[in-house]
Amino acid sequence: MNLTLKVWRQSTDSDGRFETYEAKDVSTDASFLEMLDVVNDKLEGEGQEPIVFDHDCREGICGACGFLVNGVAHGPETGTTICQTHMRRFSDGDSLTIEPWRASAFPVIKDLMVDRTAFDKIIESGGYVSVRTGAAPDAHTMPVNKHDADDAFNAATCIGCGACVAACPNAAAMLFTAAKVSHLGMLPQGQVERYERVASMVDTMEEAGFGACSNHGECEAVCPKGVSLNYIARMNRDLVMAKLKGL
Amino acid sequence: MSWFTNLYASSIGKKLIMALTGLIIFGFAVGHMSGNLLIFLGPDVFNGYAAALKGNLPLLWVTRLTLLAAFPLHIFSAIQLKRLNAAARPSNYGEWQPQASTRSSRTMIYGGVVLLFFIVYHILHFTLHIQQPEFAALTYNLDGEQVHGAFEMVLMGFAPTGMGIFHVVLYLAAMVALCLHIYHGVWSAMQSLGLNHPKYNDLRKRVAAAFAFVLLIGFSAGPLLTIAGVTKAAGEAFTKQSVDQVDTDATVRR
Repeated sequence: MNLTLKVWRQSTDSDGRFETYEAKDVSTDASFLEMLDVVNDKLEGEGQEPIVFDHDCREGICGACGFLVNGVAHGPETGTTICQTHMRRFSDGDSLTIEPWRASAFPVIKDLMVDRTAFDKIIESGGYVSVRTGAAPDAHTMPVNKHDADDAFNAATCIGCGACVAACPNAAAMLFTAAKVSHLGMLPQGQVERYERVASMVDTMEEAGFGACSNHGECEAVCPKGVSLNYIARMNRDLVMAKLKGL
Repeated sequence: MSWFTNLYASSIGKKLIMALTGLIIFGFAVGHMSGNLLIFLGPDVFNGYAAALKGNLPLLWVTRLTLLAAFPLHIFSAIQLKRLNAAARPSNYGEWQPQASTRSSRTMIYGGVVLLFFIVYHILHFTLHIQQPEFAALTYNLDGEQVHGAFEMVLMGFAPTGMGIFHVVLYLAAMVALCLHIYHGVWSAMQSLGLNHPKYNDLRKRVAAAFAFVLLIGFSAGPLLTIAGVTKAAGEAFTKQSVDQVDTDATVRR
């Protein structure tokens, strides 16, 4: 298949712009990133700078990749990262617009790669438990009811890719922060620091320059792991409790 | 109160204020709409209701002061949040396709501005009588007591004249804005307040949609049916019925 790619090219200090490239004879079995690899090979062969994009596992579990394809974070496939989106999802002759996450908290490093240090700072400020965990405990030593275990697990599936921030009209990191606050806050090991955690992580999130939640639901719709908006409501409740406790 | 200022410093706290003040204004709107519908029961009922509201000073002023506090807080937090959000996304995408947001959710701030201007006009029109000063002089004889002619005022406000048609169009447009604002607002308020439960989550959007629809229909009925002449006809029918009732009672007594 042949495609026309409109790709955002930008180096750190310059204003970016869209450049158009032709991708010829793309295999429908290729993943989206493999397609870009082929385009980059050609660009390098012609002595041009390859398109820079972040990637690591290419299995949809590390959270490194991500950009917008035709105005949708991680492209048209729901519940799927862009690395796991395959070219058979597109048609011959399609024109694809490829753009990096846009948020003041995620400055562009180059082309499609953005700096997501802000997420690491949010995690550093409370995404941990300060209890001696030792080796994995026996399943029966600390009872966790099935509902809480499932709920905590669903929150923990967040891979921190940043699609929620990218899709949010306010560039808010509420879904990411809520998932991280909730997956520890719903388990017994996370109770000790439950309220310090939410207060601290929300503070860090706002200092990083992310926006506020308008409950549009765009984040949930593009999340490759389907993390639910309900975690945001839960985080709001926990934050009110934390503030009532003077944290 | 330091916990509160501390909470308000975060965007989640601001959203909480948006939600609480929004729900207060929403609650008022539901009450206002229900009261409006009494107009279809004729001038006795409607003018009696209007006089009772104006006569109940504690209720009147508690409501007014609550709203006078709720509106500025709602607007002030909206502006603060809008500025925060604009700063978080300084450059727009070349292409962006909405996946879940609605026209209602994306137009909250614009709908809010439209409603603010409408509410100011509405108060100048029907409450302060500045827009149509002849409203102030209207009186009605309610069982021998002189009360304000609120029923006649509405008939004049939405009369089939140039001014009346302008008002009907203006009020209907504002009610469409209200409907859109309420649809996202009510659901969003529940989310901001952390009111969620797996069993009722799906219900929240439906409840918001139902309220938005009921408010649209309930508020639009007044101007639409008044300019169509239905309000006047209904009023006359009810008045005649009660006069007949009085006649029958009198006959029975004779």
